[in-house]
Amino acid sequence: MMTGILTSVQLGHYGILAAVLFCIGLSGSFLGKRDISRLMSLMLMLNAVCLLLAVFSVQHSDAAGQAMVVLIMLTGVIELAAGFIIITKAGEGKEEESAENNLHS
Amino acid sequence: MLQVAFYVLAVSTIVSGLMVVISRKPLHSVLYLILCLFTIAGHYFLIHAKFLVVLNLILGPAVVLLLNFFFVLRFENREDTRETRMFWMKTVAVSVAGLGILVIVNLLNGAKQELIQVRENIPITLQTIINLLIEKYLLPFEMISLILLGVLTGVVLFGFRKFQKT
Repeated sequence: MMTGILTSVQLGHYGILAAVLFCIGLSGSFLGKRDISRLMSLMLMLNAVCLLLAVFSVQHSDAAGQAMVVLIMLTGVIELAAGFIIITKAGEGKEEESAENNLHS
Repeated sequence: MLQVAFYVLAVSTIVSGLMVVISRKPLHSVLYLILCLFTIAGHYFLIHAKFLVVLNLILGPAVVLLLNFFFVLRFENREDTRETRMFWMKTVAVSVAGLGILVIVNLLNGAKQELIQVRENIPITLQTIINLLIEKYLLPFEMISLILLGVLTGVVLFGFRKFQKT
Protein backbone atom coordinates (compact mmCIF):
# COMPACT_ATOMS: atom_id res chain seq x y z
CA MET A 1 0.00 0.00 0.00
CA MET A 2 1.50 3.29 -1.06
CA THR A 3 1.32 5.82 1.70
CA GLY A 4 2.02 9.43 1.02
CA ILE A 5 2.73 11.68 3.94
CA LEU A 6 1.21 14.90 2.78
CA THR A 7 1.28 16.78 6.04
CA SER A 8 4.10 16.90 8.52
CA VAL A 9 2.02 17.79 11.54
CA GLN A 10 1.78 15.46 14.49
CA LEU A 11 -1.59 13.99 15.28
CA GLY A 12 -1.31 15.10 18.89
CA HIS A 13 -1.03 18.74 17.87
CA TYR A 14 -4.44 18.58 16.25
CA GLY A 15 -5.70 16.94 19.42
CA ILE A 16 -4.28 19.71 21.58
CA LEU A 17 -5.77 22.37 19.30
CA ALA A 18 -9.19 20.74 19.43
CA ALA A 19 -8.97 20.30 23.20
CA VAL A 20 -8.04 23.93 23.76
CA LEU A 21 -10.84 25.09 21.48
CA PHE A 22 -13.32 22.81 23.24
CA CYS A 23 -12.27 24.10 26.66
CA ILE A 24 -12.55 27.71 25.48
CA GLY A 25 -16.08 26.95 24.30
CA LEU A 26 -16.93 25.16 27.55
CA SER A 27 -15.75 28.02 29.73
CA GLY A 28 -17.50 30.49 27.43
CA SER A 29 -20.79 28.63 27.77
CA PHE A 30 -20.50 28.96 31.56
CA LEU A 31 -19.11 32.47 31.68
CA GLY A 32 -21.12 34.07 28.84
CA LYS A 33 -23.26 36.94 30.02
CA ARG A 34 -25.57 36.93 27.03
CA ASP A 35 -27.50 34.01 25.64
CA ILE A 36 -26.11 34.71 22.20
CA SER A 37 -22.51 34.32 23.40
CA ARG A 38 -23.45 31.01 25.02
CA LEU A 39 -24.81 29.75 21.72
CA MET A 40 -21.64 30.86 19.97
CA SER A 41 -19.57 28.99 22.55
CA LEU A 42 -21.61 25.88 21.77
CA MET A 43 -20.72 26.39 18.11
CA LEU A 44 -17.03 26.55 19.08
CA MET A 45 -17.30 23.24 20.94
CA LEU A 46 -19.06 21.60 18.00
CA ASN A 47 -16.34 22.78 15.64
CA ALA A 48 -13.58 21.47 17.90
CA VAL A 49 -15.17 18.01 17.91
CA CYS A 50 -15.71 18.14 14.14
CA LEU A 51 -12.05 19.03 13.56
CA LEU A 52 -10.85 16.04 15.58
CA LEU A 53 -13.32 13.70 13.86
CA ALA A 54 -12.13 14.86 10.43
CA VAL A 55 -8.46 14.46 11.41
CA PHE A 56 -8.96 10.89 12.62
CA SER A 57 -11.09 10.09 9.59
CA VAL A 58 -8.25 11.19 7.31
CA GLN A 59 -5.68 9.36 9.43
CA HIS A 60 -7.55 6.06 9.17
CA SER A 61 -8.80 6.83 5.62
CA ASP A 62 -12.34 6.10 6.72
CA ALA A 63 -15.02 8.34 5.28
CA ALA A 64 -17.39 7.61 8.18
CA GLY A 65 -15.78 10.34 10.27
CA GLN A 66 -16.43 12.96 7.63
CA ALA A 67 -20.00 11.74 7.19
CA MET A 68 -20.42 12.19 10.93
CA VAL A 69 -19.03 15.71 10.65
CA VAL A 70 -21.70 16.49 8.05
CA LEU A 71 -24.41 15.15 10.38
CA ILE A 72 -22.99 17.07 13.36
CA MET A 73 -22.84 20.32 11.42
CA LEU A 74 -26.43 19.92 10.25
CA THR A 75 -27.55 19.28 13.82
CA GLY A 76 -25.54 22.27 14.99
CA VAL A 77 -27.21 24.52 12.46
CA ILE A 78 -30.64 23.29 13.56
CA GLU A 79 -29.77 23.90 17.20
CA LEU A 80 -28.47 27.38 16.42
CA ALA A 81 -31.55 28.36 14.41
CA ALA A 82 -33.99 27.09 17.03
CA GLY A 83 -32.00 28.69 19.85
CA PHE A 84 -31.94 32.08 18.18
CA ILE A 85 -35.65 32.09 17.51
CA ILE A 86 -36.47 31.08 21.09
CA ILE A 87 -34.12 33.73 22.51
CA THR A 88 -35.59 36.33 20.18
CA LYS A 89 -39.13 35.56 21.32
CA ALA A 90 -38.08 35.51 24.96
CA GLY A 91 -36.42 38.90 24.45
CA GLU A 92 -39.60 40.28 22.91
CA GLY A 93 -41.55 39.06 25.92
CA LYS A 94 -39.14 40.75 28.29
CA GLU A 95 -39.31 43.99 26.30
CA GLU A 96 -43.11 44.00 26.35
CA GLU A 97 -43.12 43.25 30.05
CA SER A 98 -40.70 46.06 30.85
CA ALA A 99 -42.67 48.48 28.62
CA GLU A 100 -45.87 47.59 30.50
CA ASN A 101 -44.13 48.00 33.84
CA ASN A 102 -42.89 51.41 32.77
CA LEU A 103 -46.42 52.41 31.75
CA HIS A 104 -47.91 51.34 35.08
CA SER A 105 -45.23 52.89 37.26
CA MET B 1 5.83 24.86 4.95
CA LEU B 2 2.69 22.94 5.90
CA GLN B 3 3.82 22.93 9.50
CA VAL B 4 4.13 26.72 9.48
CA ALA B 5 0.68 27.01 7.91
CA PHE B 6 -0.72 24.69 10.60
CA TYR B 7 0.80 26.68 13.44
CA VAL B 8 -0.35 30.02 12.01
CA LEU B 9 -3.86 28.65 11.55
CA ALA B 10 -3.85 27.06 15.00
CA VAL B 11 -2.79 30.28 16.72
CA SER B 12 -5.39 32.30 14.82
CA THR B 13 -8.06 29.70 15.63
CA ILE B 14 -7.31 29.83 19.36
CA VAL B 15 -7.02 33.62 19.45
CA SER B 16 -10.28 34.11 17.56
CA GLY B 17 -11.97 31.49 19.76
CA LEU B 18 -10.79 33.34 22.85
CA MET B 19 -11.98 36.64 21.42
CA VAL B 20 -15.45 35.15 20.84
CA VAL B 21 -15.67 34.56 24.58
CA ILE B 22 -13.85 37.68 25.73
CA SER B 23 -15.36 40.34 23.43
CA ARG B 24 -17.80 42.64 25.15
CA LYS B 25 -19.74 43.63 22.05
CA PRO B 26 -21.80 40.80 20.54
CA LEU B 27 -21.14 42.09 17.03
CA HIS B 28 -17.39 41.60 17.55
CA SER B 29 -17.99 38.10 18.91
CA VAL B 30 -19.92 37.19 15.78
CA LEU B 31 -17.14 38.44 13.52
CA TYR B 32 -14.51 36.55 15.54
CA LEU B 33 -16.64 33.39 15.37
CA ILE B 34 -16.74 33.69 11.59
CA LEU B 35 -12.96 34.16 11.52
CA CYS B 36 -12.65 31.05 13.69
CA LEU B 37 -14.83 29.06 11.28
CA PHE B 38 -12.68 30.21 8.35
CA THR B 39 -9.49 29.12 10.09
CA ILE B 40 -11.04 25.74 10.87
CA ALA B 41 -11.86 25.47 7.16
CA GLY B 42 -8.15 26.11 6.59
CA HIS B 43 -7.34 23.15 8.83
CA TYR B 44 -9.71 20.98 6.82
CA PHE B 45 -7.91 22.11 3.68
CA LEU B 46 -4.57 21.10 5.20
CA ILE B 47 -5.80 17.56 5.84
CA HIS B 48 -7.35 17.35 2.34
CA ALA B 49 -10.96 17.15 3.52
CA LYS B 50 -12.25 19.30 0.69
CA PHE B 51 -15.94 18.63 1.15
CA LEU B 52 -15.72 19.83 4.73
CA VAL B 53 -13.92 22.97 3.55
CA VAL B 54 -16.84 23.82 1.32
CA LEU B 55 -19.35 22.91 4.01
CA ASN B 56 -17.57 24.98 6.63
CA LEU B 57 -17.09 27.95 4.29
CA ILE B 58 -20.70 28.06 3.17
CA LEU B 59 -22.91 26.59 5.86
CA GLY B 60 -21.28 27.80 9.05
CA PRO B 61 -20.62 31.47 8.29
CA ALA B 62 -23.87 31.83 6.36
CA VAL B 63 -25.98 30.63 9.26
CA VAL B 64 -23.91 32.36 11.90
CA LEU B 65 -23.79 35.60 9.93
CA LEU B 66 -27.48 35.73 9.07
CA LEU B 67 -28.90 34.65 12.41
CA ASN B 68 -26.41 36.43 14.60
CA PHE B 69 -26.55 39.70 12.71
CA PHE B 70 -30.32 39.62 12.84
CA PHE B 71 -30.18 38.98 16.55
CA VAL B 72 -27.39 41.43 17.28
CA LEU B 73 -28.91 44.27 15.27
CA ARG B 74 -32.23 43.74 16.97
CA PHE B 75 -31.11 43.43 20.56
CA GLU B 76 -27.82 45.30 20.61
CA ASN B 77 -29.18 48.06 22.80
CA ARG B 78 -30.99 45.76 25.16
CA GLU B 79 -29.79 45.84 28.73
CA ASP B 80 -27.84 42.88 29.93
CA THR B 81 -29.93 41.09 32.51
CA ARG B 82 -27.32 38.57 33.55
CA GLU B 83 -24.72 40.85 35.10
CA THR B 84 -24.99 39.19 38.48
CA ARG B 85 -23.83 35.74 37.55
CA MET B 86 -23.11 33.52 40.50
CA PHE B 87 -19.54 33.36 41.69
CA TRP B 88 -19.50 29.58 41.98
CA MET B 89 -20.52 29.24 38.36
CA LYS B 90 -17.54 31.31 37.26
CA THR B 91 -15.24 29.26 39.48
CA VAL B 92 -16.63 26.01 38.11
CA ALA B 93 -16.25 27.24 34.52
CA VAL B 94 -12.63 28.32 34.93
CA SER B 95 -11.62 25.21 36.87
CA VAL B 96 -13.35 22.85 34.43
CA ALA B 97 -11.67 24.53 31.48
CA GLY B 98 -8.24 24.54 33.15
CA LEU B 99 -8.50 20.94 34.33
CA GLY B 100 -9.73 19.85 30.92
CA ILE B 101 -6.82 21.47 29.14
CA LEU B 102 -4.30 20.02 31.63
CA VAL B 103 -5.69 16.48 31.48
CA ILE B 104 -5.98 16.39 27.70
CA VAL B 105 -2.55 17.91 27.08
CA ASN B 106 -0.98 15.40 29.51
CA LEU B 107 -2.80 12.51 27.85
CA LEU B 108 -1.68 13.60 24.42
CA ASN B 109 1.92 14.08 25.55
CA GLY B 110 1.94 10.50 26.81
CA ALA B 111 0.42 9.11 23.64
CA LYS B 112 2.44 7.84 20.72
CA GLN B 113 3.32 10.73 18.45
CA GLU B 114 2.59 10.00 14.84
CA LEU B 115 2.31 12.17 11.78
CA ILE B 116 -0.92 12.75 9.93
CA GLN B 117 -0.94 10.51 6.89
CA VAL B 118 -3.16 10.91 3.89
CA ARG B 119 -3.34 7.65 1.99
CA GLU B 120 -3.38 8.50 -1.66
CA ASN B 121 -4.75 5.19 -2.92
CA ILE B 122 -7.90 5.42 -0.78
CA PRO B 123 -9.04 8.99 -1.34
CA ILE B 124 -12.03 10.21 0.62
CA THR B 125 -14.10 11.90 -2.05
CA LEU B 126 -17.52 13.45 -2.02
CA GLN B 127 -18.80 10.26 -3.66
CA THR B 128 -17.70 8.05 -0.77
CA ILE B 129 -19.16 10.41 1.83
CA ILE B 130 -22.50 10.62 0.03
CA ASN B 131 -22.55 6.84 -0.45
CA LEU B 132 -22.04 6.40 3.28
CA LEU B 133 -24.74 8.92 4.09
CA ILE B 134 -27.35 7.30 1.86
CA GLU B 135 -26.45 3.70 2.60
CA LYS B 136 -24.93 3.09 6.01
CA TYR B 137 -26.07 6.23 7.80
CA LEU B 138 -29.44 6.64 6.10
CA LEU B 139 -31.41 6.44 9.36
CA PRO B 140 -29.54 9.23 11.20
CA PHE B 141 -29.60 11.35 8.05
CA GLU B 142 -33.37 10.98 7.72
CA MET B 143 -33.84 11.49 11.44
CA ILE B 144 -31.96 14.78 11.18
CA SER B 145 -34.11 15.88 8.27
CA LEU B 146 -37.23 15.01 10.28
CA ILE B 147 -35.90 16.91 13.29
CA LEU B 148 -35.15 19.87 11.02
CA LEU B 149 -38.70 19.74 9.69
CA GLY B 150 -40.08 19.60 13.23
CA VAL B 151 -37.88 22.44 14.40
CA LEU B 152 -38.84 24.59 11.42
CA THR B 153 -42.54 23.97 12.02
CA GLY B 154 -42.15 24.66 15.72
CA VAL B 155 -40.20 27.82 15.09
CA VAL B 156 -42.79 29.12 12.63
CA LEU B 157 -45.60 28.40 15.10
CA PHE B 158 -43.58 29.88 17.93
CA GLY B 159 -42.74 32.94 15.87
CA PHE B 160 -46.36 33.72 15.10
CA ARG B 161 -47.52 33.25 18.67
CA LYS B 162 -48.05 36.45 20.57
CA PHE B 163 -46.24 36.71 23.88
CA GLN B 164 -48.61 36.01 26.75
CA LYS B 165 -48.10 37.60 30.12
CA THR B 166 -47.99 35.04 32.92
